[in-house]
Amino acid sequence: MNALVENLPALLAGLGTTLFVLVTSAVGALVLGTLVVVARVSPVPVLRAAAFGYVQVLVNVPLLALLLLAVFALPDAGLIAPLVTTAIIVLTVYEAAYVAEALRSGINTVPKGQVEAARALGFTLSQTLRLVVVPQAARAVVQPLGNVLIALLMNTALTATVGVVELTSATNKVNLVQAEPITIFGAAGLVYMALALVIGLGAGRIEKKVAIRR
Amino acid sequence: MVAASLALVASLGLGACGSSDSGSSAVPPSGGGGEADSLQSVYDDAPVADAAALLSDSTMAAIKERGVLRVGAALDAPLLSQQDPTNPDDIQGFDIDLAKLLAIYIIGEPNIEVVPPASETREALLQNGTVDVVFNTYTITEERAQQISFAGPYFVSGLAVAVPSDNTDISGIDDLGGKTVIVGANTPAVTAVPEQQPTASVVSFATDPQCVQALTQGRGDAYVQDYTLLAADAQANSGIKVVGQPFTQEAYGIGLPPNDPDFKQFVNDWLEKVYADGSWAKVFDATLGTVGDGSTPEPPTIGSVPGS
Repeated sequence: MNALVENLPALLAGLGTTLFVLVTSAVGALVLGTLVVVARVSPVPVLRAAAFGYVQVLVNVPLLALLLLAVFALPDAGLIAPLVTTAIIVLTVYEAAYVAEALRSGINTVPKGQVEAARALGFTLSQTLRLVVVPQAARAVVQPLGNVLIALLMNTALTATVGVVELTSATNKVNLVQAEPITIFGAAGLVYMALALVIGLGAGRIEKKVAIRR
Repeated sequence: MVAASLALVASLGLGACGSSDSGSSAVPPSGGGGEADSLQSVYDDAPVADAAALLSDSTMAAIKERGVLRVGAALDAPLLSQQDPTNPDDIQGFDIDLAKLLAIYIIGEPNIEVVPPASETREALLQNGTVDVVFNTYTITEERAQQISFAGPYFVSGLAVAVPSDNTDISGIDDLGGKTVIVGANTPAVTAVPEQQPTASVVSFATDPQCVQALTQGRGDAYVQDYTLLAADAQANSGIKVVGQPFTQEAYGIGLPPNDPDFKQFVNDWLEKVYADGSWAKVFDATLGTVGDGSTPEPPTIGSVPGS
């Protein structure tokens, strides 16, 4: 227990970085993922193909490979950014693919007849999406998006391998001195669990709040 | 350029998964190729414990009964404990070769089972009996000695500083104040650098090849690592050079389960034997010795550091 108390500042600093990376890349992934899914369901074939390709590539490449590519290969091509920035960009781009897939599953829950009805009433594409499809689709995917964010939280731990001093990395450093892996990693695990619980419960509340009572 | 980058990342990626092949480039071909053969004779002549030394109901008797020594070790440390990615059973290096000699001493055969990754959880692995011994550049410290026991030290090394070849400002640890310093995660440098230079900011990467890559790409001003490893890196990569002399003394011990004085005595007796008969020196020459100045150091005195 002493090992934890004595090293609290270092661990809290790591937790701070984890939260910073989590929040910034979550916001980025939600925005980018929405743009991708709009392209994915748009009537423009080129956009649809591009969005399909984006999702397929990112869902099928391990995040660790993407992180290592961005951190070690891009500098060879002349692109070098600070480690935390690089990690946030990679996490954003990676999780956006999962956000897009979650949103698309929501859009698929909206019956085709409603879109046809909207068209018949003279709605434009933008109106159809804005007023008919998205309000229903978004409600259906609150909980799945929560799960994507929990996965994102766990994925932030991978950034420890490329030099970002977040919670996992800080835990490792403390353990190197204190030599009490069960206590130290156990505590870090509980913190991750608590954060995941907050995201999960938060998503549950939002889902209840926005639910349409029929 | 892109193809080269992809190839590079492929090797770096493997490194992060614990089975780096890129580290092999740090080993000169002569040392890597001839090692298995040159050590075969060492294995053949290695000392085997008398039956009387394997006290009944002791840890060593249990290991002999099982027929395999379970070793906590890395798989991605060039010259120390490096797995051949094309042949996962083939692990070579100073730590692993000594572990095989210990296995011969107890069992009569070099039967070891390597349990990675050791550095994050080695105390727990020893406490709960998952491994019998840890050979993992395991610096003997008093904090660790409260959790587990150490035999040895079996090797003394030190941390040194490497910089890009075109750097002329940094000539040792004293010049690192306020600089960004790259270290290997879970290496002694993680704590030693802040102790010596509190104003330096430390960036850690998972494997040695990643650290070298990060240094050459300018992610840090210097790379602090074990002197021997740095010498190997500098030999393989003209983009970096080692500056100054080692600035710490790291005494590496063999991690043993806590509260088992018989086993500790037994392993220390074995170390005395391999020191005396020259097999320790032969293992050193075939591994770490391939990148130094050709001389073989004297083995350290057993029990000479606090915690051992």
